[in-house]
Amino acid sequence: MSLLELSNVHVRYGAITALKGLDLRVEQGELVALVGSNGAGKTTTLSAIAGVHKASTGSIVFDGKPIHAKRSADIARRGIALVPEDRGIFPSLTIEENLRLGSYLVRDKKTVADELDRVFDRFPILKERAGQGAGTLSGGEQQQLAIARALLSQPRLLMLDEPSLGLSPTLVDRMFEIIQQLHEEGVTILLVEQNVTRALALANRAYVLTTGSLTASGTPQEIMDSIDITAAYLGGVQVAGTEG
Amino acid sequence: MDGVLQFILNSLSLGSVYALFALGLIMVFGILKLVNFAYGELIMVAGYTWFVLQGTLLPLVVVVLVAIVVAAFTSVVTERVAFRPVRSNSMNAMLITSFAVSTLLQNSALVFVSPRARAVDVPVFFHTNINLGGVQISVSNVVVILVSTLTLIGLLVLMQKTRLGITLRAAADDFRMLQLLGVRADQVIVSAFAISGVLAGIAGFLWISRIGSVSPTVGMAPLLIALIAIVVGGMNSLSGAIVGGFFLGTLTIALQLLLPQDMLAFRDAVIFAVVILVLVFRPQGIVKGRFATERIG
Repeated sequence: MSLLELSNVHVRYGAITALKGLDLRVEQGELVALVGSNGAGKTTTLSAIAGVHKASTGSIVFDGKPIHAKRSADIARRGIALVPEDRGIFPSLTIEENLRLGSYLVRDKKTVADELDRVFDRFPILKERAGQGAGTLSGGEQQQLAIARALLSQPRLLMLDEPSLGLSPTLVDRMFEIIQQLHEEGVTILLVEQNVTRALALANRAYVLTTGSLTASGTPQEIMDSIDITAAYLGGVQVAGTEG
Repeated sequence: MDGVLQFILNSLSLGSVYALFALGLIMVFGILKLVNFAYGELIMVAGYTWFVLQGTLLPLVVVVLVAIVVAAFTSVVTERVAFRPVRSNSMNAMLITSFAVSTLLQNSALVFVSPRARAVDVPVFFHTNINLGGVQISVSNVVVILVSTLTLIGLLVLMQKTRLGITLRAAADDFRMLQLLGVRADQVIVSAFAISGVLAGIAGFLWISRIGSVSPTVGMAPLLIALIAIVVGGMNSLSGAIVGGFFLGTLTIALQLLLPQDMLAFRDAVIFAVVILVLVFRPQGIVKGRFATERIG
């Protein structure tokens, strides 16, 4: 049984159908990449899983239980963490307070302290600036904070929406290193990226979305092999991806 | 010198009550972007609780505590019964609901108590003066300043140091993200209404002890004051509400002092004119805050 399974998921915004019958699954321990151009429905997919936008038809099953009718807070409580594209930092809170909210669901104080230490080891900049306002952080630091905060909830599935967006080339490298590390440590990850080459280099499997439907899925090699079918589209994406 | 000190004390006293009014209103506004027009009625409810309990032998402190609890409870009940069911609808639905709740509570007081104002027994010592180094200070001013200072400190500690406070501030920043971290919207909103009710209860006690009576419409002036205070102080932060409250309080006392006798009737008109002037130069209010301006419910 897959950890996460989407079947025939449709999402509508008014008259616009952003997702047209998406099938997708993520197995325990996998790193799955979801790639595609702007407006393909990648963010919508994550929103639907996280319960921010409701699927109008279809089912989303997490760990054997349907979650598509649940509220986002209850979905988070089941172990799905979303790091949104805008990073969702609380600017009027300090970095430490942002992190404390990440471990909101973890009741055991010892676990919270241990996890916080691990996160500070992984992202030393956050430790240095723990008492500072989160609004003062740079884009790359905010991205680290957002991921750190998500990790503190000890998620069973970590969803990252464009983690490399807006970062300098050095930081992009660092970000993909972090993602790879997390994957190697056993964190199940669903990664949305415009930087297709980088995403495929890390992923166990990948899905290619085009205007709300899947155009390809499989191992990174299989996606690369089908590249001639979607060449124009992937080419465009790569140009867009290198801006970050 | 005596006059200056008197002016400062009066301004602090009135300003701190106004600041509490404003804080109670912005507590809910910060999170739901709802101006709760039923807020004034929480003050009224606190006042009537006082009125009803004054016949009993309970000491004033107990009566006041009960009044605060009743105001907080009323606030939570209005959230649960009236606001929650319409929360997913438009902002207008919420606004109209708050008018409906306000009217309903006012009319309940009208029907079950009396349309006329009822006197509350303000302790006599409130109206006495104490002599502090040759300066006469009214006890009521001291009580008001003391109670509101303690309340402000309490609120500050709650908002800055506790898990609930951090959650409430985060909700004002980005409510959607907070829910993505597993925090349930209902819990946060109910807490905000409860704190709003407590502030209304405390401020209501201070206000009503000042005017000495309670009537069905006693909450309308505080609501208006709170609204103006948060607009002029800045609607996007708690400090804006505090600044706005003290600004209005000081302005009111100053005009009371400076305006010639035959102009006093126009005091409020002058206040509004000053408020408009402030807003012309600082449309966001005196304090620029960080709350999200978009409503996510």
